[in-house]
Amino acid sequence: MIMKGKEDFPGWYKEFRENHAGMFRQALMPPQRYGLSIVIRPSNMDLEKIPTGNAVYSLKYSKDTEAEITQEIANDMKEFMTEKWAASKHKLYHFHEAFANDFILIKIPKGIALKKPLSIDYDIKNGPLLSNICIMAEENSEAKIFITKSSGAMENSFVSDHIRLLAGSNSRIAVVTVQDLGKSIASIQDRISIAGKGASVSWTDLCLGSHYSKADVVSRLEGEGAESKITVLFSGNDNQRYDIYTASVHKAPNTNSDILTKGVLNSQAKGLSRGLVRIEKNAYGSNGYEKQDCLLLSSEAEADAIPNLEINNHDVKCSHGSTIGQIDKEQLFYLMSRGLNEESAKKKIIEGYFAPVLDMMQDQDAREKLQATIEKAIEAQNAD
Amino acid sequence: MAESEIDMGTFEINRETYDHYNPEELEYKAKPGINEELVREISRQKKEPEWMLKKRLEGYKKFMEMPMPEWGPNLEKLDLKDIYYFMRPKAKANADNWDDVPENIRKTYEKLGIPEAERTSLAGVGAQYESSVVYHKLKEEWEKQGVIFLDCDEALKTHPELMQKYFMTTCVPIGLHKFSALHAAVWSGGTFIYVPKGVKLKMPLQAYFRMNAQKGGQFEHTLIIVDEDAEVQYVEGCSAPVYESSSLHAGCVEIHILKNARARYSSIENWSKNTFNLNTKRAVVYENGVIEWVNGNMGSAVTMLYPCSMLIGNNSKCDFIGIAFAGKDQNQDTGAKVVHLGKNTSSTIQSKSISKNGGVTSYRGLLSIKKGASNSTANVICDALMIDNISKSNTYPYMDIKENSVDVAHEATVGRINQEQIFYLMSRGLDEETATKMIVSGFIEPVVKALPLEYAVELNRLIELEMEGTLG
Repeated sequence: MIMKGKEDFPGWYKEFRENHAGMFRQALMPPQRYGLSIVIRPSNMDLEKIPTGNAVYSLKYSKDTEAEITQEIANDMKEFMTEKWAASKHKLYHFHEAFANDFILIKIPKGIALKKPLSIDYDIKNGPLLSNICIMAEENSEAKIFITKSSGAMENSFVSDHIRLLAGSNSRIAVVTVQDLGKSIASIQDRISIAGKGASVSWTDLCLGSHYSKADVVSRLEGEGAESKITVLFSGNDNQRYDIYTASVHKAPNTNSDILTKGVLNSQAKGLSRGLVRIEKNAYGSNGYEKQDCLLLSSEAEADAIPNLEINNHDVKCSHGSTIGQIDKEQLFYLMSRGLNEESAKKKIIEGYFAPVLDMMQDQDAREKLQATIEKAIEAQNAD
Repeated sequence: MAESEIDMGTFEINRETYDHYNPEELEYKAKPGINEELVREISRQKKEPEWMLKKRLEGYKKFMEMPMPEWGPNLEKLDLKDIYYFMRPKAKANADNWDDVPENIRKTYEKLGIPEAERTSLAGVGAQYESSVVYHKLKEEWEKQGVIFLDCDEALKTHPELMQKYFMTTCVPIGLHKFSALHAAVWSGGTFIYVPKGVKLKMPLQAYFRMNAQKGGQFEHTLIIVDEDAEVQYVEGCSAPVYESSSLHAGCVEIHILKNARARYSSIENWSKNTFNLNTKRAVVYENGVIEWVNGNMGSAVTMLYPCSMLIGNNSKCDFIGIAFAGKDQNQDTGAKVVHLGKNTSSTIQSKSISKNGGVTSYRGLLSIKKGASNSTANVICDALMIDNISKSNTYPYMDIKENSVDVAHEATVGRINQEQIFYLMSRGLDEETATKMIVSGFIEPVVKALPLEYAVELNRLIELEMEGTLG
């Protein structure tokens, strides 16, 4: 268990927090209405009532690693506390920056390739927990980082994380996060990566828990030849709300990006998937792809998709696709005619729905970890 | 590459046809700007019933209250205080003999090919000049079957009951947005079509709208009612000459498609390049009804147009196909909206855009499947072609699905002209410009095919005109 007092903060950081505390009072909540009829908002989340201060949680991470891990606010974090790492300056963002109470800096030194994935597991006992996780991958480094967050039942709590990844030239970094929080928690997940020349970044985010998740994953391709892949998987039942935003911003020539969001919604769950591929003026020779799929398992579940493209260069290839639908009745009939009951047949189909994503994951550790979590989630879907 | 039905090479390109203007010859021209007195004056001059004045005043009130849209293209250059909201050209309203139309207006339309079109095939022609309809004719055989094809002002006098029932009621509500409210306040002219039960028009009806005066506003209202089991095709074209200051077009199209009826609405809008085209189009489709939209947006400085289909009846259907072209200083913000309310409803949207010379095209669309619209299917395809490196192309599709027994698919692609295709054509002896034009005409072919011949010709000619000098 880690407890930190305000007095331990360096001066620059105290000032940073105070600035954000001021802006928090004035800033507006992020939009919860998109277009004319898409509305997605938490059923209850009153930021003013969230007690700020210490959270109670346990944190485990693999110690036998060549990565340098610092578990407090470090001067190297200064680089991540600047304007360019702010995706959108709404109330939730300033709230996090003003009251963050958990800090991890991971440094993968130049030329080092981690042999084993670095895993960081949070078990949260009492909130609110606001984590700043900064990953500095120096040039030619290679790493896989797994971050999981789970919790018991905590009443009206709030968990938020800002994960910032600076991928140096020719580095290859994969970050896999699993959010499996209790259903009374609001979860704000804010990820940004900046990829340098020839760097390869991969984000995989599996969202399972909380009553409201706002998950933003933004990949900025700033160095020539950089590439990124964003995968967000979500599974919702009861009254869960997912507001998922994924963006690939191409700022340099010959950059490639790929976005996939895939979700299954049951009961009265609601999911919105917004996406953006932006190709800026000098990012010639770039490719961007975006796909959003959602499977609706109940008549009361709802799915929305807004896949946007903003293209300012003609020497590009860019496309997107979305599908929303129900379980294919013919597939179901086929499986049942082979002796499965409806429940197991549905389970098989949902497994098959996520399977291509898992198959595409080249990393075996990540694949196995996600497979197990997804199976658990499918189990929970069927239990309704 | 599929060969276009029309050989684009045989047409002479003459910009003057569209851009020329005639000296203003107006019977009445209100002062610029809008106020309550002007709204009352329009109603007074048109000798309208009390209920229409009420509607206009409601529109005026809402227009003043509602904010400008906070999204989409920049509208700062549109000075609403500087627009002439009502003008009447010197002509007998609704002349039905071509020779009765004053010479300068007649010349304009002749340049645009109106009487020619009528002579060949179209069932009826209406033409609007500034704020009034000057020429209208419907072939006798349809008239006998009860088809009504009038301008809206005339329809208000002769068919007040239909107007009161359908004019800005269940289709486009007055307060839908700021410019539909403005339209309600100052609307003038336009087209009224009623097709009685079971009547199937074989030939399309046609109208042409033209703004001539500087800083003019055009607010024509198109109201189409297709009664049960009836069918109609309606085509409209729009243009305006080039002036130094901006004009405003805020038209409104309402289409009511009753049970088992079917309508195809085609329009080619080619406003001058300083027109703000803020247009509203909507169809309400009842049981088994079908609406087909064919939309071409060529001109204007800014276009904001998202034809909307309300599929309220079971088994109703919408097919939308559109093309937008943005050249220098143009921003084409268009798309389609479909709201699925009835069971077993289906929609397909195919949108194509070309941006060139710094132009911006945006597809902005909404696909909404409401609770209860079970077994609905929707398919949206957007393709964007970017000719050069200074143009922009955006795609903003909104999908809002509140029903699970549905099948929704969306696809979009953006890219430049396929260099291999160019190379192939050039290796067959074409120069690069011809090869590019050929590929572009292949790209727009699905839209061209959906249009009646004259319009297909016009669209091809316009694209050809726009593509001129693309290389170098």
